[in-house]
Amino acid sequence: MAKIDQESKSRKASRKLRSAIVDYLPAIILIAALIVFWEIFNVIFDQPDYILPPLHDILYAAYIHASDQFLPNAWVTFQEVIIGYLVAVVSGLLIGVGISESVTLRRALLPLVISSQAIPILAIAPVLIIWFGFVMTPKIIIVVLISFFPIVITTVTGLQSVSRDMLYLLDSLSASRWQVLHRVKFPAALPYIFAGLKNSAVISVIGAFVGEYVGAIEGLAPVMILANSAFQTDVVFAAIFYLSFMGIFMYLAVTLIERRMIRWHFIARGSAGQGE
Amino acid sequence: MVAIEDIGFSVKAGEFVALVGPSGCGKSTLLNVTAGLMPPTRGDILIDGVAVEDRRPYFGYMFQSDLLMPWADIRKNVALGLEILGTPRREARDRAMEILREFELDQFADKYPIQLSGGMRQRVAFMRTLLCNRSVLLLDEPFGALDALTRSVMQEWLLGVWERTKPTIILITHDVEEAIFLADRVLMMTARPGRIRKEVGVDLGRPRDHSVLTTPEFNVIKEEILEELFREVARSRNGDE
Repeated sequence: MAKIDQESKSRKASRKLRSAIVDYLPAIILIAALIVFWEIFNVIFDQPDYILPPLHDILYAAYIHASDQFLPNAWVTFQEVIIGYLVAVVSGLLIGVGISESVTLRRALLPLVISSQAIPILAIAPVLIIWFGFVMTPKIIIVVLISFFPIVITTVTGLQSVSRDMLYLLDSLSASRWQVLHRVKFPAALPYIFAGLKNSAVISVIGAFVGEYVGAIEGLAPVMILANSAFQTDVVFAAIFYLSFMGIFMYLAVTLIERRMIRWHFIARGSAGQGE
Repeated sequence: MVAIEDIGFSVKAGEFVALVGPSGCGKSTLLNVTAGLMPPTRGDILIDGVAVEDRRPYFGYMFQSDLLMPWADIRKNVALGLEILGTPRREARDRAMEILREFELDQFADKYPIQLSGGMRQRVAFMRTLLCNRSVLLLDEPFGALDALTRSVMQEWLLGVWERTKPTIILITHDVEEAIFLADRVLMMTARPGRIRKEVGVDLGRPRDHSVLTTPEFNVIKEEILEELFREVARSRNGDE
């Protein structure tokens, strides 16, 4: 019996792998085609390399300038991203809970929160640089400004997603507001909140980049600006790669935490009695 | 807007009373007012002859949807009521396990609600209500979302539980057969504003099982109630025009 189980398990695994390859085949083919096209673009259209540097040149630039330029500057950008993101998470959650749970706070905060999003980030960034100088603070502020909003919105939506009957049930148990919030509303809101957290994780990198772009000495943006003015497009693209990886890393990190924190959310319907 | 008006009825301890009526007759409002979740504009609700300030501790609630928490396993779901009432977590979960064992649901203790069928989930919701040990259970169309066969199975199951633990039950349903099959007494409500129009005693003896559904006595009661209900629906429709 155990042997049969094991056999079917390994067969299941190989079937899973095969179906995964088939599922992703269109994506793999498309990406491969893009890479080939990129590599031969300058040959076909007879363009100088600095217009669209071949991929291998970009990867080479990313590699040889890694220790002297990219990694130290990426580290600066990453610090802005992570500090700004964490501040956004905490403030976004608190503001979201406030807006959802208190009428007074909703009236006080909602107009401010919405108008903060109406401000064009690019317009306010130079002012922040004047106020704080060429340091990290204005970048962190921009990261917070750009990434707290999705967290607020998804927190409010999530907390409000609990059904009216559930609230009646809790009321019939004389549950306190705190019990309702932390026993039911907050866990129910988590899948929503994580959608916001993932969204914010990706755009926080954009925020840091915008902040650096209008005035910074260290970070990936100054590296790019400098390389751009020197027509070192391979370095520019390499910097873009580093930024994208940072965004992907942020997204994956949040996804990993999500998988751990709300494992229940990924359980298949009606799977009881089928083992596992 | 007045949802319900001039409603007077009493329920004895250990009695099973069913309320039937057309949709929108304010049945749920009646339950919410009774349980102390909404204040009545006028009138009193007496428990053992006394108008109690906070009635909530006397009533256990159950709804059409099971309202189980998808993030908690069955044992934790059953323990929720006790935990909110202040029972220490360990003890609440032990007692949840006990009641699950008593009603032979313990093999699902560590499953999540989404892994169970609708009928099973409703049983679990009922365990949660029972465990709070309230003197009166208010059941608001508890089987309304289930398919016909599951519903009959659940009705027999509920009767079994009731015979064993004898709580007082007020059941709201729009299913006349369900009301007669389960209850000692059927109260019929009118719509807009909801009033109690008629009361029918169900003298079918106990314990009952599904065989009672096809007896002539059952059909006599059913006919009496349906007649009245259809008259009521026609009346409210004419009133609308």
